[in-house]
Amino acid sequence: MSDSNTSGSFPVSQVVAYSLTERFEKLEIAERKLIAELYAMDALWYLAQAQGKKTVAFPAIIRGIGQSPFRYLVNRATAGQDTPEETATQARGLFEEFVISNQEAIGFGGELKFSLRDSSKIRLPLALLLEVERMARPDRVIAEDPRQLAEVMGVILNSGKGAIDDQVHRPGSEFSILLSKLCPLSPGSGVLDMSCGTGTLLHKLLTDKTRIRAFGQEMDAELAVISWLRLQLHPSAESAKVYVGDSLRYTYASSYQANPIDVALVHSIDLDADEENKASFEQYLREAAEIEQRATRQRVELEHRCEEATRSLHEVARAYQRLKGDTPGLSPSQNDEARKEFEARWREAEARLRDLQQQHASAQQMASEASRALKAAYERAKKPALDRTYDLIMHGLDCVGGTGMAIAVVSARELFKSPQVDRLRTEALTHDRLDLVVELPRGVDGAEDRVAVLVFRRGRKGEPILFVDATDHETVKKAVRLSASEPVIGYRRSRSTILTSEFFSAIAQVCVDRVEIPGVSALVPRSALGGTSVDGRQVDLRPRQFIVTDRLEESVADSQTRLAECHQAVVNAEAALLKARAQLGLDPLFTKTQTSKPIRRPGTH
Amino acid sequence: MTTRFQPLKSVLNLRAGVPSRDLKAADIIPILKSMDALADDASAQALVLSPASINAGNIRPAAASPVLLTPSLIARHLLLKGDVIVSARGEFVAGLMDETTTGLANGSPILAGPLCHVLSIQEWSPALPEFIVWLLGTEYAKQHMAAAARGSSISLYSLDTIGSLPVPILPLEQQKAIAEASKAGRALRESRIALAEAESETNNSELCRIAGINA
Repeated sequence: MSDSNTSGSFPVSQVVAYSLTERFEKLEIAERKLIAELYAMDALWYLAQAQGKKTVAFPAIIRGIGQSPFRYLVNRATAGQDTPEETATQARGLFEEFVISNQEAIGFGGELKFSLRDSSKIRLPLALLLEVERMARPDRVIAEDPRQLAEVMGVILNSGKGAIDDQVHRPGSEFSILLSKLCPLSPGSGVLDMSCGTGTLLHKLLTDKTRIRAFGQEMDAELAVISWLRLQLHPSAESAKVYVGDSLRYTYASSYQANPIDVALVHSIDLDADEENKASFEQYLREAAEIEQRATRQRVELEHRCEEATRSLHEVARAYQRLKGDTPGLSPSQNDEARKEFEARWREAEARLRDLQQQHASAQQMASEASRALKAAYERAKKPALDRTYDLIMHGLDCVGGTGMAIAVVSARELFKSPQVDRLRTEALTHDRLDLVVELPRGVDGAEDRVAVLVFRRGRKGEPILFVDATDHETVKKAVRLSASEPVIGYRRSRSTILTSEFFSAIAQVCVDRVEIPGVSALVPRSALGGTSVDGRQVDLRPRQFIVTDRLEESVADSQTRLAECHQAVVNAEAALLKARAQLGLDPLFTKTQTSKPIRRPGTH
Repeated sequence: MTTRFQPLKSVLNLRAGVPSRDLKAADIIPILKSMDALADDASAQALVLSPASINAGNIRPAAASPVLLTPSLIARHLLLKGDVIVSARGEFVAGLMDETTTGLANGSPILAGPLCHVLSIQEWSPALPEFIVWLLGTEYAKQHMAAAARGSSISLYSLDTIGSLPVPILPLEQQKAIAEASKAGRALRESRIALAEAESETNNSELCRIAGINA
């Protein structure tokens, strides 16, 4: 009997996906990342052994014992030296040393330091390490198909539920199909992915296109390392570079003029971050106003108390003046006593007044500071809120050459929420750069909201803008005739039955063909964006409003055909039942339905 | 003519699905294989059915779990065409292993899981599997199972409970005709539902057209 778990006719990555997805799904995100990182280190070690390449440096202990990192950990665990927790600690230590040895190649330095997030509670069970090694030991994969190394790493990171791409909202493998097809890259062209995540999109681009220059930038240090590792395992790795840091500030941002590219990819679907900033700023404004009010109240109250203290001091002073002369009816000794008492009261009132005056002065200072802070907060509120998505798009357009394009994956709320939509509309109307708008259903890249793809192209010559509404899977399926065929292996465990690679391929086809399909896509002249909608508001960028749903005339023909088919099916089923009942000697339950009428065509009588 | 009844256990063979302990024991197989402690042919993948795979008298292995098991275990529990699978707990359902089921399994052996019982037709059986499936889907069988089941919140159907169902012993031709009539009835129900849905959609489309709405 053949071993069902060896690769056979299936690629290794698919076998790993099929056999181990359930195990990976149960892992914590940090455990999943660590296994992928270990696997990549292991694969690079085997590649270095096989090809004699010394492009990457390995930890001293690995160099010393001459074993691959994976085998080193497995040997320690099988010898009973390490528990799963200790294996994880060992693995983290190895990985940190590995990154530090190669930090210049990844782009760390200056204020960009690498450190793993707190993952002290993670475990690496021996059984899982053995499973991964048994299914996809790098030397066997290299002998079979070296391209599979990066694929296996992708499976470890992103197969099934809890995919890292979904968790960090970066393009997943299915969505990358759409983005890859939207990139018109010819040999020699360059592409920059400004949020490359685990490198899924870059990997896809390197696999689909030949001789392209791929640049990736990632703000999250660990993801940047993962992406770098994944591309190191890709056969076209020489043409790919991954940098760490914010795309607007670091590395590529300062060197793009020396490395011109043709396509820039922006991935910013987390509109909530901007919303949170806005909400926290509003909270700060409220608090500043409250502090200012409180300080003013305190100042006014202290002013009153100072006035009262001054009044009482004056009264004491007046009474004291009266006592300076001889008071009739009082003996000189009594008079002295009264004078002393008044002197004591006068000193006390004076001290109280001084104290209140001090308090008043500090309250006045506090009030003026609070007032200044409030004024500054109001000034800040007048300035437009930070719109990182828009900044990234503009930066992407700056990076591309004369006819280059920027592809932005954004939250669909950018299509109608002011002021974001106003900026995008202005970009379309004034500079004629908006080329394509695609609205996608919920769940793309783990987004809880709908997601939109915006394509901006330089050098447009007034062509109409294509709007595609892909939010309704059923409509797209009917319009583009998605077939029912799905991947044979691992399909049952795919993330979603709607967001399949086939679905994204179909949308990509509509976008590339630039065709108008009723209910799905529409070509809209740029000037239409300057108009107003039915309710008098300015037109936003939602595709649905432009798409003509003239399915009516067509649907008459289609529905008549379906009706006739259903009718015929009922007639056949009735006949079968009547026959079966007749065999049993039973009377017909119903009158037979008339056989199907010829299909009525629209416009005919 | 008076119909003769026999308990189900005297009409065909009853057995339980793969025991849980065997499935748990099989968890070690992948590890043994990874340590090269098991020969290549010492295990094979099988689809293990649960009651969720049974629907309207049919078995669809889409919800079955692929599990690595030893060949001896697979041989002992392998389901064959004509076997009837019933649930051992929860809602009482029954399904028939037919060509469609084996075709959907893509050649993988199919086994009944711990939550299922298997009713196998024998050479001496005076009943057809299609007839038994129809019978087990009737209200008559469901009432019998509900009355004889154990368990306060979830009904549990033991082999004895299932085996005690009185089965009408009819001529094979008549059993075949009943099974066919039942199948045709189900097909008619489904086609009528589809027709009613199509009519409703067409009606709405035409009404929208009259109202000048692009629907």
